[in-house]
Amino acid sequence: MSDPRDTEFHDEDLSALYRVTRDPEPPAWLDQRILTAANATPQPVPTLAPSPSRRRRTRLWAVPAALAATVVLAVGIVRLARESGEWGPLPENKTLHSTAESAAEADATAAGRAQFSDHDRPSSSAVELRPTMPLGEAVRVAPQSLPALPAAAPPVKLEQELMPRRTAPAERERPQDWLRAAPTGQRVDQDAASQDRSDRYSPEEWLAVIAELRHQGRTAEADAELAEFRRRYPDYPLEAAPEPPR
Amino acid sequence: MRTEDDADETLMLRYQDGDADAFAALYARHKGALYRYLLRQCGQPALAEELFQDVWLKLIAARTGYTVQARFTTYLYRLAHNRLIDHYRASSRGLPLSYAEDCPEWAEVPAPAEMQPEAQDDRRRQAERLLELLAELPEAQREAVLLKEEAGLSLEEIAQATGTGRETVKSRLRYAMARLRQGLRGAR
Repeated sequence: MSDPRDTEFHDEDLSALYRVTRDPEPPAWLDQRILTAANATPQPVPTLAPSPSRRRRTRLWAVPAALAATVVLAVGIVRLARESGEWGPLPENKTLHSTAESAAEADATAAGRAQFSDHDRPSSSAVELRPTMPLGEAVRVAPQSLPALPAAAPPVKLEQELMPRRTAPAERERPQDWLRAAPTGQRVDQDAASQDRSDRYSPEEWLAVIAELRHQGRTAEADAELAEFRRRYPDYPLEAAPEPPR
Repeated sequence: MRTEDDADETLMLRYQDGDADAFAALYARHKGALYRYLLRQCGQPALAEELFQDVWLKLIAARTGYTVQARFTTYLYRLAHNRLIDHYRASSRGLPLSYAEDCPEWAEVPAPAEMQPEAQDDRRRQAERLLELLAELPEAQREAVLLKEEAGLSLEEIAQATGTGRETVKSRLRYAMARLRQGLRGAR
């Protein structure tokens, strides 16, 4: 009765008199029944589920954690792509070549790799991407397929992704660059060049260069490169390698 | 953990969490007043016991949804009031007219009968007369008095417990107190 206006309706004499009458209490059996009912109700069982505050905390961390994971993944993908040469800087003389030429080089490189990767990786090589094409034929038909090369570029890309590399491409000269740098008819210093190539290229890449030389009609250079290749890698299996025309 | 000094609301929340001792303390505090409230409203001990039990069982059942929005006492007597109203409605008499906010019956309550002179000095007898006077009050007025005297509720809390307006409670109490005083004066 804290409301001062209640005093209008409060009579202390009446209240005191009423308090005298406060003797009836509920019977003991009723007390017992109600207390038993209260005790019999199922008690809350502690569960392993997180408390609301813990759930709220988890929810608070969920978004930042997801964002951080996304950033880490994105950075990792970008770094991997750069290291694999996907987003590397273009060669300076790239603009001197037509798109068709670049595509042909890529296709020839892929074909050359496919020939040897057939022995190493039957399940993941570029040969699998074009299963109906003979290995040697792949090199020969590459120039004829130039108009359709933009569509053929993805297999090369995929094959590059699947092919293990010995060194980072950013540190190496790519075979296409070497081919462009050597004009038709120009004699290359074989010893220095072969040493240089064996250091720079993998056997597959070197063989791709040889195949490309052969396609460009630089048969003598291709033969010389092949001979040098065999000298450097005498044990390398060359059953499907491009042989000089007989 | 002490329960004697805890507020009713704290005890109810502890019971909500499974503390049976908290309920026992709560029950001990309120059982007498609630029982008398019901007994004097219905006038029959057996019926009062039934209603009393129903109110507590309802409180036990509702414990999981209990939130502190008012004094626990108001909450408890709201349950009791609703149980009483259900009882009135289920009875052949129906809901007493005095529960209507504009109740002409209030002005027609007869003046209390004169008491025996030899009993006027006996306080106990006066108290008994008070109870008789109380029993003669219309139910709604009597309920307001009981909620004030037994539960210690304020006007607002009585209004909250009975689901009526504050002005209605004032009117009920004004009529009730006037009749009780008048009856007791006549008895002295």
